[in-house]
Amino acid sequence: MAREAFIDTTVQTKEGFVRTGIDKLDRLLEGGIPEGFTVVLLGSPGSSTEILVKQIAISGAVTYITTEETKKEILDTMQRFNWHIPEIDFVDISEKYYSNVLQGEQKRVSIYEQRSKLKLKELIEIGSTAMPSTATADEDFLAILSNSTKKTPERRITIINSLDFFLSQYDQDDVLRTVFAVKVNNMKNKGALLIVMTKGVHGELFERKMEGLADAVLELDVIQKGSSFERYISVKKMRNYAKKIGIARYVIDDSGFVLEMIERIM
Amino acid sequence: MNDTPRRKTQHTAHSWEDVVSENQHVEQWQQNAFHAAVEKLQAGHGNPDTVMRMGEAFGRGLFAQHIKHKTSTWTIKEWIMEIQKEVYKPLGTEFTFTKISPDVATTFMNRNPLAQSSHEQAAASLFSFGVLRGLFRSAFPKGELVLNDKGNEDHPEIFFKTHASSKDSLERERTIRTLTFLKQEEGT
Repeated sequence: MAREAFIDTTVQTKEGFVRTGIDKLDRLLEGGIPEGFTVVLLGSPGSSTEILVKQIAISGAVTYITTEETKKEILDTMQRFNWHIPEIDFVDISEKYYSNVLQGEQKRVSIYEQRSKLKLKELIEIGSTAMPSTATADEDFLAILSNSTKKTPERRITIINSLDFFLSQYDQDDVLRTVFAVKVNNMKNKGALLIVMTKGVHGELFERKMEGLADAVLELDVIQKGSSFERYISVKKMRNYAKKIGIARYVIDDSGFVLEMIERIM
Repeated sequence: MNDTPRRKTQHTAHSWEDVVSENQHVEQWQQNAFHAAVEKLQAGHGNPDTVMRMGEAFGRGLFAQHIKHKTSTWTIKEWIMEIQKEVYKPLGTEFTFTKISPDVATTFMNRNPLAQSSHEQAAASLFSFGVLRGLFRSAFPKGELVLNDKGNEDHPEIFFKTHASSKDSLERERTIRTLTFLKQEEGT
């Protein structure tokens, strides 16, 4: 099914809002994400958050900062869903990370190869920790994240999928400081910043800090009902738009992320 | 310690029920994080690096939430005492340290309830190593964990080094392969 089928003509493009491109999600959000907003997407395991963000990524002007999958893997998935793929500005941290891993591994193997060819006397001479002179410092992925959002054009959606990667490499406080800097850039650019994070991994304290920093919080959950599973997306927080708090059931089918039922809480 | 009062308000248990709930909380948190790691492994491309990374992220989260009074002059011994009390005791994980100096320690993991209860043996081992690495590097950012897989395969020896050499810093990937390979061999 072509992606155009998801665009709901009943949801009018509103001044001051960025549309996600998913009809019922925009309806749940009453027009989309307010410009300048930072949205935290908290996903439970199995909630298919990665499909939702890919579907949002095809909505138009998007910068996609990926740490979980390479650009190629993302495009492959989009093609599998038969979506029309517009030009997406990718910042492929995943590719950089795995290139570094491979380089490191080659370095490590070459050290052992070199050392295995040496005689004992030579080994003692070079010392047990000798390394090739090409050893370089690790890449600063937080700096890449911060810099890549500085150059983002106005009124654009920026997706960070996901914060889990940075939280495995850096202290939580360092990550929070960078997220705050990225949020400020987004406010200046009047864009919509979507930050994906897995729920239940980084601690309640950190989740609360992120929820406090965000303008909006969307949570994706999977609930077991008998022998089946139901998925829900809830708008937990929407600064200055209390009316938008709501919950919706969704499914993932051949066409992607489909919202079935919307329930307004306030 | 000087900052005991501050810690008391946050994590010191006052009754048996508190101990149980705190332990359950950390255990449950670990289960959630591990479940998320396995789910990411299955949803992704089966890359074991993902599991290690989720373990590291969880370890860093544990450190941030439970270890509040770290100083820049911390030794490995102080780190071990805090981690055992605040993290590994609630999780039921047991270590034997065979050597502790100010900048290097050597240990065996004797008991790991997560690995024992999980059907995903390789993933549980990788995740647990990642947790340990995240906890350690939160305290010693220039440090590294080095796995000695030459000895006992069930309880491999782990070296903690507060200042990793450039060779040590390349060990993470070898560890991922070693743990994945060892556990797969056991499973077959």
